[in-house]
Amino acid sequence: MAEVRSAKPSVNEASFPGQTLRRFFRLTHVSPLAVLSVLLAISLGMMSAATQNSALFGDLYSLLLLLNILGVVLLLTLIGLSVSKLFRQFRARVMGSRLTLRLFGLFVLLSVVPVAVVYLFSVQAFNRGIDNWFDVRIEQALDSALALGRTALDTTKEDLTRKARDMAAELDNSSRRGLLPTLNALREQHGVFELTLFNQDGKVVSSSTQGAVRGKSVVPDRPGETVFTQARRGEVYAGIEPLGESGLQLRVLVPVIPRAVGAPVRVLQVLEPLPERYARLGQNVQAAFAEYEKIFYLRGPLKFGFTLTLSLVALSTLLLAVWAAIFAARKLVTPIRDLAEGTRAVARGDYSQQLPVPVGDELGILVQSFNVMTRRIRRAQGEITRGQREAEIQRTYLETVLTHLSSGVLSFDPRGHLRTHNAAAHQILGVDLVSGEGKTLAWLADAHPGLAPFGDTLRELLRRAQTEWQAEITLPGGAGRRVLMVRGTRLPGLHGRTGGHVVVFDDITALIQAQRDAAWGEVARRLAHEIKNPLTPIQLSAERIRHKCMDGLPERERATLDRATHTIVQQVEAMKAMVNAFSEYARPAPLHIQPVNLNQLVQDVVELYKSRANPVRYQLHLDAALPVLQADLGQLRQVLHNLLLNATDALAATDNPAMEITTRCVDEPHGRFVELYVRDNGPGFAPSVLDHLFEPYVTTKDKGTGLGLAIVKKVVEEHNGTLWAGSLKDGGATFTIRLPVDEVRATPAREKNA
Amino acid sequence: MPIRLLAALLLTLTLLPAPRADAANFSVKSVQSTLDNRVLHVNARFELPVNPRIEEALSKGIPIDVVIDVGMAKNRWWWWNRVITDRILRRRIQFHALSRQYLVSGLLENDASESFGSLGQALVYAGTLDKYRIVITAKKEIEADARYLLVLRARLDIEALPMLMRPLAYATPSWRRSTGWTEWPIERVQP
Repeated sequence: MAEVRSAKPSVNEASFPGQTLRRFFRLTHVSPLAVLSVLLAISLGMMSAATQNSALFGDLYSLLLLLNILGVVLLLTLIGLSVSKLFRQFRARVMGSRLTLRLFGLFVLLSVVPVAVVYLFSVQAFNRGIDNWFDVRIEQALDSALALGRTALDTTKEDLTRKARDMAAELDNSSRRGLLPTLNALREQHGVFELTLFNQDGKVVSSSTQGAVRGKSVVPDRPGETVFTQARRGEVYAGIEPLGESGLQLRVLVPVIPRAVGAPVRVLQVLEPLPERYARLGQNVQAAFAEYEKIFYLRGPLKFGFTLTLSLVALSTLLLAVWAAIFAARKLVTPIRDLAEGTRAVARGDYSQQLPVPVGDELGILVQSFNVMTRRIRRAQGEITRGQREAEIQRTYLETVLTHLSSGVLSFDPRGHLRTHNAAAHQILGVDLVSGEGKTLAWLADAHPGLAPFGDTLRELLRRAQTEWQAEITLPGGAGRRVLMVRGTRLPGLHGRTGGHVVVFDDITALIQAQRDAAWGEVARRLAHEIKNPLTPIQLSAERIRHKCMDGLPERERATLDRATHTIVQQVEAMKAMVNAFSEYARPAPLHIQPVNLNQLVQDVVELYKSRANPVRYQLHLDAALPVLQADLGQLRQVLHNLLLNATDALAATDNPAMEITTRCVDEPHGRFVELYVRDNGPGFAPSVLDHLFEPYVTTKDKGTGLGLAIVKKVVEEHNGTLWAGSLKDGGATFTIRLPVDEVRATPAREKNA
Repeated sequence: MPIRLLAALLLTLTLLPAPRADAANFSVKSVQSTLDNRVLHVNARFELPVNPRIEEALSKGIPIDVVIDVGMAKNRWWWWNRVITDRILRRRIQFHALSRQYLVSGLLENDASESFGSLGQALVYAGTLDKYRIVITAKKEIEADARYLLVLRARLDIEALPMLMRPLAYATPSWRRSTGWTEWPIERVQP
């Protein structure tokens, strides 16, 4: 933990200068390239100045050279990196890299060629120029001047040498005691500056100097080791030496060879400074010659220096140009690349692209236009999506409405192919219409022969293509005849063409049935009323006749009358009962709802019929898990009685009569039902009877009111149940009754209200 | 001396081949030194051979500077030697065309120069340290049992050449003359 903490500041410190530099460049909008260029230009300028005049920056020359070389190396590195990056991008086929490379190549060509040409010509020109500075005649003149000076000096030197020899000869003659006076005399006699006598070991024996006379302290000037050795060996040395800044002096060493054999050799040194004017002229010649020689010698390095400076300038310029070329190419290509990428994105379907707009030029306008375009496309796209969503919502809404419509709805396209259908249509027709989508009505008739009348009629109606039409279609079926009310409307077509059709239909079987039942009820009530009215007077009259006439009639007639009146009264009673039954059927009776266990009820009722006189065998299949019904017990008992009675009557002529009663619970999508299924093995129903089985006065029996099954139907319907009858193939009739369980809870409130 | 340092850097940057081994470079011929209390006495002879290129430059009037570095260092086996004192002696050799003499300056007082008839004599003169004395002014005491070394180097100073010649001199092995740093034992005079 501590290590991490301690490491952190150092990392920050390390990256700090770079960041600062980067921020500085970003904030001031100064390109590092420009800074480097200026620095290089300054340093090159200084170097150039130093080359031309060494007094200026001469001391810094090496440093400047180093700096410039480093700058060039830095530039080379940077350019190398940039170019390698460019090539990598090119190889990776990055968008825009090809154009960048091409532009870069063009720029480089445009900059390199002129600079190279100028460079080559410049180098050649100044090399020739430097060579032209040096003139052979001047050189000869200087050489001659030097030679002249040397000759003049040599003459003086020889003169002095001769003098020195003379003096040495004279010194040899003189005795040792008067050495200094002799030297002084000799010096003055020959007019030399200094005379010094050295012994063999190089020690000063005696010395006489011009200045010493005037009392100046003088240390004799000693010759060099080599020179002295040469003189001691007996050779004469004569040389010219520079003296101070501008002086020249002659130094001559001669051996003083003694006459006595074996005496040590002494050396006499004569010093004579050249006259000042002489010396100055000589030094001038020397200086001029030396300077010329030096310059002549330095022309090679000068050329090298100039070439170096120029090469560095040219190289720097070139490299800066190359770098600028990369920069410019990138800058130029960036918006194009952005555009290309943006276009690609748009092609992909991404309209959210907004490109940075370069300032000022035509590319900027182009990019701006692109941005406007994508914005517009995006807006349009948004509107389309919104429209689609709205359409979707609309469609869903319509579909919901259609689904919850109790009427069946079908729509057809202009060619008569089924397009849409709702759940009610499916329910009413009892057909899965999904498989019929996109097919004509012929499919309906083929796949479901029971619906053939519906399909055929509809096809005919559609063919007629009326704007609006209405029809009633009757469908035969096992569960009874069904009547459909069909209404059609032609849909408006697009662009003036004929649109399809929408067909709405309802199952009005129940409605018709109800109407018929109501009519029957009315008829029955009126009839009962009309019949009942005269029955009482008839009965009373018959009894009165009997009462009045009975006594006055003879025995035979009396018996007849008695029988006749009795019959009248009896029949009238029967009629009354019948009429009461009628009015009972017609009059709506209030229901007394209570919990009913159907199984229990079935067992109770069947028990009543099990007697010796009754040959029918009863077989019960009762569902133990049957839910409790909310129903009118008395009326349900009536229903069971009627059904059993009906079956018993029907089985009268059957051998080995049997009856099967089944109860079970049925779960349907629209609710739970208790089903009562009654089956016998009697003759069954004739098809003609089946259609009108539950209508009053439909009977195949000799006795009975013909109201039994009608009452069954009435009771079942009053309990919101359904019932149907059927014939089995191998003989025998079936009745199926379905009663809803807990109707209030099972059905949704909305539907109930509707 | 930053310039010298940079020059050395430049020298390495040029990445040119080192001077050929057979080409005679500067060398130390003989050394004799004694340390007497705080005074160092040095006698040394350097061999300063010159190649034709340098000789030509001299004959054309270009002065050549020979720099002799003399110093004393304390030997430390566990670390680099510690320099106690060092001196830089600069000797300039120049050709005087009129008198055909080679002048050596930098040895005598008041900037006077000694003249020689031949370059060889001048070089011998310039490459001689005769009874050279260094009074050690360093505050640190001279330890009796420590080992002290004499460090010597003689080299041709390229920075003293005319400016235009410097790049070429740096780039040319024949101009890079130096003995390199050499170490010599010092004789201790027991008090």
